[in-house]
Amino acid sequence: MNNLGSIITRGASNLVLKVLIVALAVVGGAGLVASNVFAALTATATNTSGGSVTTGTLKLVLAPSGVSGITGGFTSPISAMGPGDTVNRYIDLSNTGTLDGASPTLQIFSSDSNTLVNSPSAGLQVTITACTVAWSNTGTCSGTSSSTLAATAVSTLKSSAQSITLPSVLVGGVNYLKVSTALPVGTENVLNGVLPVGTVQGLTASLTWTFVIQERSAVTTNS
Amino acid sequence: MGSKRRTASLVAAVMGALLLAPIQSTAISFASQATANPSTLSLSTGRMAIYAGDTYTATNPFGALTTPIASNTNKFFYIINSGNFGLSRFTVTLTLPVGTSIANLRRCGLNIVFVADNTCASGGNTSLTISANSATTFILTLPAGSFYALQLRQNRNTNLVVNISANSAHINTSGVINS
Repeated sequence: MNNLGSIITRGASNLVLKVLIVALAVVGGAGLVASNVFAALTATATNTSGGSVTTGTLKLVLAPSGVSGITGGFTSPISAMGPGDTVNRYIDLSNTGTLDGASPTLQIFSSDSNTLVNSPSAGLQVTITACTVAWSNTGTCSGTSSSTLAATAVSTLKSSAQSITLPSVLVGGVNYLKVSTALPVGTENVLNGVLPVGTVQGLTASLTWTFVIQERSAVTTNS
Repeated sequence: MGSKRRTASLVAAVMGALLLAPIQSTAISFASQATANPSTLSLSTGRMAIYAGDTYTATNPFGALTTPIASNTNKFFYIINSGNFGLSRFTVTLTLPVGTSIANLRRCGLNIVFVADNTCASGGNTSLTISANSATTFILTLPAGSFYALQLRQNRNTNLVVNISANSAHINTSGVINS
């Protein structure tokens, strides 16, 4: 009985072994066949030249006028400004990138909080005029002038960006701007050297001028 | 157990979205606009400072001039502009007891003092018309950093109070500056 049992067990083991060998052979064979079929049906095409892609740049550069006598720009301070005074500063605003711009805006940032920057009527007023050529040092335009920004209170420019009109926001365009900052005349009465409450006199303000252009509308090109 | 795994996966997904969203937003914004190099302009306004003093070098008292005055004796005082702006007119009020009679009020030229009764250091003097306790406007140019010397004669032994006022509408140095 023991011999019979041993023979049966050995026979079963041999059977399992044979089944495993056959199964491995089938899977391996199928893999080889499939691999050969796949390689035979793949085709690859590549370009042999070109194919590079570069993106454009959008750059706006602000610089003081280079005309002798009016190079103050925004870096030279204005002192002892009086009611009725207007100070003209001259700047060049250029698109030095490789993409055309659009929708230019101006916003003024100031951490000060006084009548100069908070009052729409008694505070500072800004007017910007463009010229097609550089301004002369007497404030005249020998080309064609146009309005970039009508008289606008600094308080308005401080609260939100305002649209401006620039002659050229295209690549390489240079805008010659006269930025006029004015303090309204006002009617403040000063008694015995004492300034009235809420006066525009004896104040200071730091104005950060921020010009922004948007990228021109996106285009789809077939080429 | 499965519920805990699902919850953990959901939290991970939300955290990932929150972390990636601002990065993507910044990149889009950066590509679509250009800001010119911001430039800061420092600006200050000047101040008016016109007042009366008992010397022509008096500093701003931020108040009226009160000074003793004798009957029928010339009293000298000064109207001073130590501010930043020239003025084209100003108003003077001389406060004296009711019934006081002002015999005369005279002035020398700009920045010239009286050296004796009715005598300026140079040039002649000019009579001014004024009544006590009444604001009187003088249309006189008074540049920044200058003064007028005045001589007053009246008929009381008392204190003279001098008030000076000016309006910013009469600043005469405003203009357009190209710089």
